[in-house]
Amino acid sequence: MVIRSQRVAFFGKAVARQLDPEEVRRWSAMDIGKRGRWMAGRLAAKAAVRAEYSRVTGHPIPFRDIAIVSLGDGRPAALPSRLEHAGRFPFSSYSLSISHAGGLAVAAFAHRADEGDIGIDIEPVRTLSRAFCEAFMSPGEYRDCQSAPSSGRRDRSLLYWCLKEAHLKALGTGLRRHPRSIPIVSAASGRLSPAAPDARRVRLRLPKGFIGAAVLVRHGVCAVN
Amino acid sequence: MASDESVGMVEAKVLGLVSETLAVPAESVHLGSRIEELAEDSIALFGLVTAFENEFGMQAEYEELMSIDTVADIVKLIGKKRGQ
Repeated sequence: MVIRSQRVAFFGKAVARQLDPEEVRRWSAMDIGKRGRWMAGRLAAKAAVRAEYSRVTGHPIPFRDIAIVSLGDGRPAALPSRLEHAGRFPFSSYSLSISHAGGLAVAAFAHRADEGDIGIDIEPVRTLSRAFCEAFMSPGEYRDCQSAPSSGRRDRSLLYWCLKEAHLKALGTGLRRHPRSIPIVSAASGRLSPAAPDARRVRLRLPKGFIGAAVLVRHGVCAVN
Repeated sequence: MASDESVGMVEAKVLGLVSETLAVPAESVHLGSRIEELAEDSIALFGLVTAFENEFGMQAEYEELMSIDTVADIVKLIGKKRGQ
């Protein structure tokens, strides 16, 4: 699995060279205020795809030959813009997830058969209200958060959110499914992870000021009720 | 007419709640605005849904609320739940 990040910046017209023709059309039609965020997500995703492509094939691939598209369920996917790349690398065997928050975009790219479907969520550090936490957490999860030292409650509640959202993205539903339907458990060490046996939390390093989580969901693992 | 005023009041309330909950200037929010484009992130989107549940006492299915596309869709859903 590869994870890459990109800061949102002012991306001038020259950055269009990083886009495939369809992306250029989309970029051109986009509201100027939204371009930076969208482009940061695109660049992070293409960087992740390029790293894996180069590792597997031993060949480079320019960003403009990688198309980031949206599947029917809203999940992003990477496709080759040129046929020569399609023969070298199994694009459709990979899962892609992108998250944007507060000036940063992060993308994760994982091999579905070897690792599973990936979901990633990042958030800028902020305080979630009690009402919000009670709405998305189970009573047990909320109690766990409240039992944390007061200095750590803010980040812990955000981590609960990020884990649930990342898991939902890996499942392909996003927030169409209620976050409370994704239980999170706390180990004796205090480490949080998805309760589902087919899901595992992946280590994620982020700049200061951000909290995030990445979750891989493997296929073919039976959940035990 | 009473029902039209009622719909107008609901529209104004919805527009105000969207603006306030998502911290978006009121002049940027209109009935055709897409919720996903107004919400900065997933936390904002979920916060908006729970705000509507609380404000309008809506017992809508969560999936129904999350399938809303525009501000106008919210107004229609409220009307539907109130039997208007």
